[in-house]
Amino acid sequence: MSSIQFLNLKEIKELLKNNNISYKELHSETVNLFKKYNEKLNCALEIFEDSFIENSIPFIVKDVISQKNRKLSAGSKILSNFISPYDATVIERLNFFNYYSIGRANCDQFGMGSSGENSAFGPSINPWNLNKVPGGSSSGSASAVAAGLVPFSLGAETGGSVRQPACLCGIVGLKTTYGSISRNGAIAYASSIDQIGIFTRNIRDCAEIYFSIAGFDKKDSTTIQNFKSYSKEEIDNFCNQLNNFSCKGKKIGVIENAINAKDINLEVKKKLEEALNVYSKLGAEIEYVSMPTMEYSAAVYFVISRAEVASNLSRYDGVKYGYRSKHSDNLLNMYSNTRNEGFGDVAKNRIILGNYVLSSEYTDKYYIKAKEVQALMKDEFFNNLKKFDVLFLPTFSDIAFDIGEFSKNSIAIDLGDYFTAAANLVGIPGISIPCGFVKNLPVGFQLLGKMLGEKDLFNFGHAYEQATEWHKHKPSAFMI
Amino acid sequence: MSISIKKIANMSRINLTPMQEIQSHEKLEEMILYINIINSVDKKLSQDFDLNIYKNRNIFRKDISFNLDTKVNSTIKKNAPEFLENLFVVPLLVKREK
Amino acid sequence: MSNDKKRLLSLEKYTDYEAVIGSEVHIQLKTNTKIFCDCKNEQCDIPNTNICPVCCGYPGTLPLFNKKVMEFAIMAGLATNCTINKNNYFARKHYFYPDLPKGYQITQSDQPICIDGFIEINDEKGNPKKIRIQRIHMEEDAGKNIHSDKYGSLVDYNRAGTPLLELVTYPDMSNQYDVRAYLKELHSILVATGITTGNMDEGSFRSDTNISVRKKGDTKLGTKCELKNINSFKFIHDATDYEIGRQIELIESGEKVIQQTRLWDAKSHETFMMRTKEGVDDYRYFADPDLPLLIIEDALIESIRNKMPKLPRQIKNDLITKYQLSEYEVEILYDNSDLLWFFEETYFKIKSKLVISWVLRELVAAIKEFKVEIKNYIFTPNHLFDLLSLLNENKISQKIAKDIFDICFASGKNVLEYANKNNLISVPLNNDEIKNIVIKFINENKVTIDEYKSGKIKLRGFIIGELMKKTKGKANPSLINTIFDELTK
Repeated sequence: MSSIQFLNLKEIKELLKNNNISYKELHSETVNLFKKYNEKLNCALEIFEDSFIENSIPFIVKDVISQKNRKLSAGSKILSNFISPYDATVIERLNFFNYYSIGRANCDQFGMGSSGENSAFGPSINPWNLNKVPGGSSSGSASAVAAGLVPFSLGAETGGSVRQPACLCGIVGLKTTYGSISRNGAIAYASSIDQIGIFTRNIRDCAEIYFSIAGFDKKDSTTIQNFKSYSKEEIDNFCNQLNNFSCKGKKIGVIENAINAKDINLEVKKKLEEALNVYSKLGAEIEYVSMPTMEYSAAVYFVISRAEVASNLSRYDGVKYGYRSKHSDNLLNMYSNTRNEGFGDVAKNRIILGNYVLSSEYTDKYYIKAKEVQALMKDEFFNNLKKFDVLFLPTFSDIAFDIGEFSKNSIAIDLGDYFTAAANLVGIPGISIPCGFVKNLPVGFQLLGKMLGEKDLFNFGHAYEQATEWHKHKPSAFMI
Repeated sequence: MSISIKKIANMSRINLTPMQEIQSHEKLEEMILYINIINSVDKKLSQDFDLNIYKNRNIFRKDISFNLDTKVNSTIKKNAPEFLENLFVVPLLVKREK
Repeated sequence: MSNDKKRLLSLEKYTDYEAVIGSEVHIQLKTNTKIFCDCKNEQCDIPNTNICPVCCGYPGTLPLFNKKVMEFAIMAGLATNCTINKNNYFARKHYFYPDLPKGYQITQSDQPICIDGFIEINDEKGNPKKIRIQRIHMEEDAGKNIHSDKYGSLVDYNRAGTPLLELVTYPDMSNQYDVRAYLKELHSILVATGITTGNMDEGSFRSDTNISVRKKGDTKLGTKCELKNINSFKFIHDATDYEIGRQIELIESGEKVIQQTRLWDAKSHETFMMRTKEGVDDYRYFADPDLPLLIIEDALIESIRNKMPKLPRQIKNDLITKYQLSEYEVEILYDNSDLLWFFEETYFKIKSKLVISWVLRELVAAIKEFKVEIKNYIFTPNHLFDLLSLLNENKISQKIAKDIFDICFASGKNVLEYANKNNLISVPLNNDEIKNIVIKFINENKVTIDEYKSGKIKLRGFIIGELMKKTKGKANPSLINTIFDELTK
């Protein structure tokens, strides 16, 4: 039996179909891969050896997504021993399409972080270079897919937590249209902008998984009402049509102020321009466009996400489940000690900022104002997406940085959300696609699409992939 | 700008040590300084822009009850940090006098 | 009642003061399920039975809004003359308490579903008065905390997430009578719509009363205190009176009223402090991003309006017109549906003025004495019908009717059989027979009759009385009168 490592979905299905491998063998091989490499990568918090489902293919799930009768830690101490009694809608949908979860992927706690270093269970590692972070917060999900241990994984995004680690790990990362994938079962960070995301090693796999899980869910009232979920046939049809797409005459808007951002790594910028050249050669019309509201995206994102996370994390109080501080003689102490001991520094600081901007004294100045600027951003993005099929910009300003390079609390690392947060605030889909290497570390570019314009992103992404070889590169650092 | 970090930490039910208080305060001030840029925005929305177009409306659940899987109920009870005779237990708000 | 002695009537004592009173009422809605999950909405003896991941605030769960709650809220709004807000959204109200699973309550803040309504009451002098409703909003209830010195606080989430409406008035009430009248009227309206059981002992109708006092002529409001958790109209009435007095006396003695929440001790007949309200809590409201907008179309409002049952005021007015009753009589019947049933059943058979007076006097007294549930009792509307028929046809006297009533009410015996057996029924005298008796009387009492004829009108009472005696109650009194007048013209 040949190794299943680095095989994509289509290849695995082919092997299974031709009986080159059995489902049972696929399962044990996957378990073995994690056993072999997780010590180095720390990408999985737990591997479910008992999770095998007949006729199904394994994947791994960021540990903020609920899996029935499994632990759900959110990468935190406060939920370290919590057992979830139900499956998230995405898990049910994937089971329906013959995929099953084989474990829980490490992540920055409650999705807060851009490096994977904010996990209560230690940082995940970038398979391309063991001294580097994989990005975050969906660090383990990205690391596992980049290392070829599973064909795909689920992450979750609030401000870039799928696209940014995908970019740093050299894989495809999709943030979907707000309301296209049910959030039922996904631990809330900022409910109004949270979306579950997908990691794969190529566009086709990404499309296949996206169509499997997308669609209205009666358990999430924020999923788009008239957006029906897809059938197996519709999914296959779309995936098979990817090759028929042509960029000819299609319009790509390059966000000028983003690609020329002053802190961008110039070698990264060069790779992005090369990617644009590829599109140009494919016949796409490239036009530069200035989008001034981008400049506020990080600030607006800070205010809205912190406000909502302060609210959403209120439920972790040591009363009903999770960690409770032992040394508390009254209720107030129990709350305050539990939350001080149970949350990491980043979570605590974000809660504090959130409650600050929501407090009656400041809510108009910050929270309400941020909602207004968010509306302006939507206005500008929707207008530009009427003119262009997709928008092009960097995913991240740099390549993966060293573990421990930034203090977890520095604003510099928070500002890394600059390129990604806009899509979350506006609600549009965004995808990060690998486009080369700088210092042997991956670089990616980002495409943004219209509301429910995921198909455009897949078409453009697939066209690029067909014209380049970047997605075929495999990391080897972690295998030595 | 003077921020009562104590007051916000208390509102957040987070018991910061004096050291943490200083760090949190610094971080908060740094962030506030940054987010203040949104207050320099005085642009207006284009006239035809309706914020609510992309918001769902009137999604309802029917008023029909379901019996929950007893296993779910028992998991909920097992997750409790302290549980006694079908009740969640927490310390008293204050020790009662008399 | 001993409480009457303790009655304070504070405002009558301190006539230069006035009270300003507003009310907040929480009502539990009679839905099948909770407001945001499909757990059963019912009282349950075993704690933490009707719970699920959603109402326990589990990670990753989302609220799913129960349509019935909106319909019930609209009904409450229409029943209290409110305007229904077209654009609704839910907000999060943040505070930490063990009975609040998510650390926030989902409620409505600046755009409640109903606004600007009113309820009509009668004040203590019987004059109509409007109490304006400021708002009605939908929200989820919290669970229950039980405090135990031995174990700590014990939390039950059966009630967590059950639907509530909160109804807030403007401070339009000025004394304890207004408060009681308002609450009773509101209660009967809401119960009539069928959206709540109104059971006050089970907490289905929970009233908080905000009271402040000031010198008449002052324009500034005084510091208010809130009376909480009082579950009877009478107690609320008494507590309001007491609280008005307490506040006036504080001011009179040069002290200040401190804003606080107070409870009522029915035994000592006093209010006492539960907690002071130091500063204002910062609830950090914002629109709940998990719930979609709620847009209420006119068509929906109209369809609910068409389905609305009759409201108390309309029912009462209908009763007044239909049976020609007084407002007072209707009040009593309306408050006691069994009595109303008995009345209507009897009246249906014999359309006589006698029915209402017998129901309100003899029947009410007998029910009280025998402590019976009249709807399932041996004495039925048929019994009363038989009895009143005899009375109406002058076959028995008032006195005999009362005797028969007493026996039959206690025993359930058939009225006609009993009266016949005991020879209580007399065939009434006809005109000629009465005439003969009257002529005989006139002839035997010439002096008296002459005096009467010459203008001593006072004698009439005596004469008719004597005639009644002579006819042994077998003559219709009005017939006697008519015949006597004819013969003495």
